[in-house]
Amino acid sequence: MPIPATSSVTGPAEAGYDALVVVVRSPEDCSYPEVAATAAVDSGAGAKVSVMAASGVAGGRLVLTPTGPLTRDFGEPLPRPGAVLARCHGGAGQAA
Amino acid sequence: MLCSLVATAVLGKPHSVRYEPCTRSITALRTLPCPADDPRCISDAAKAGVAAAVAAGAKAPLVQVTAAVAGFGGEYARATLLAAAGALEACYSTIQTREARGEAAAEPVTALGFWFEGVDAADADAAITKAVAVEKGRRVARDICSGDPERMAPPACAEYIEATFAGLKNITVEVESDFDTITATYPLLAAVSRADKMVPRHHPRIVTVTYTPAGGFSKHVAIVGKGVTYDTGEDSPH
Repeated sequence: MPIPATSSVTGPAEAGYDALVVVVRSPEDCSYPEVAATAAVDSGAGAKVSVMAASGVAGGRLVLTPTGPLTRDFGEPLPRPGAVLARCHGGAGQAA
Repeated sequence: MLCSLVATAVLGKPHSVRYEPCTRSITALRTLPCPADDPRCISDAAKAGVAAAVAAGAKAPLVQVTAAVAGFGGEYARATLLAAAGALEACYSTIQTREARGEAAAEPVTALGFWFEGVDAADADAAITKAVAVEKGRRVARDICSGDPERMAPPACAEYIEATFAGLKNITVEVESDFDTITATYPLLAAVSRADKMVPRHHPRIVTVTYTPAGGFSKHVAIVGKGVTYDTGEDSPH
């Protein structure tokens, strides 16, 4: 039952790693040009995990994973899992 | 509003969904309005990011927690610990997946790096060390709880616990296996597990794990839990 070897590093291109996972509040939190390019063409980049090719980072692979705002008082107002499942089962709309 | 399905939110367990095919209605068991956000969004993000990296073929992801998150402060002050915990959790596969596919295939991640922007090295190392310690315990809990009723039936569960803690300093594991002794000593447990009496592999077990700190201690802490494998309406909890 191994746990991966862990260590603390100080840069995005440390040897021995094959992907960079960037935890941000929103894409604007980091300065990678690939993230800015993705955010420019995908307005949803701040709300989902995005995998992109990137130079100068571990493995040439960058995974952007946003937390969303850390200051909001409430989360999503709709029952998101239900809405998603409804669509999966053929629902065209929803009512709450 | 016209719709072919109705999504209804009721008070209950967050993020659970019950599908009722006969009426084509969905009951989403989530409080409305849902609770205020909390720091778990950081561990959720790290977990989702590492999972995506692994799905993309990575075996040694490096997790960068940007300064905007790591230094946010307030109730998010433990962002480093939360991110490390979430990343480690993403590397876990259930015990039966590991047994079926092999550990290397089921858990391909061999190394995790952490870059906490703006956090000094000592604090970063402390967060990683603590996250690893917590993850070791969480893995045991997940293994026990994720195994199906046969894989984690009481005798198998007891064997797993004995094997897990074998050789660890200051920890002892005692297992009571004798049905008659359990009947005499834990009559209520024996009463509710009487349906198992004819099925030896489902017999109940009493497992006692004791940790005695090497440097002595000033108080006792006892944590008591009950595990249920087959729950046939109170016939056979263990």
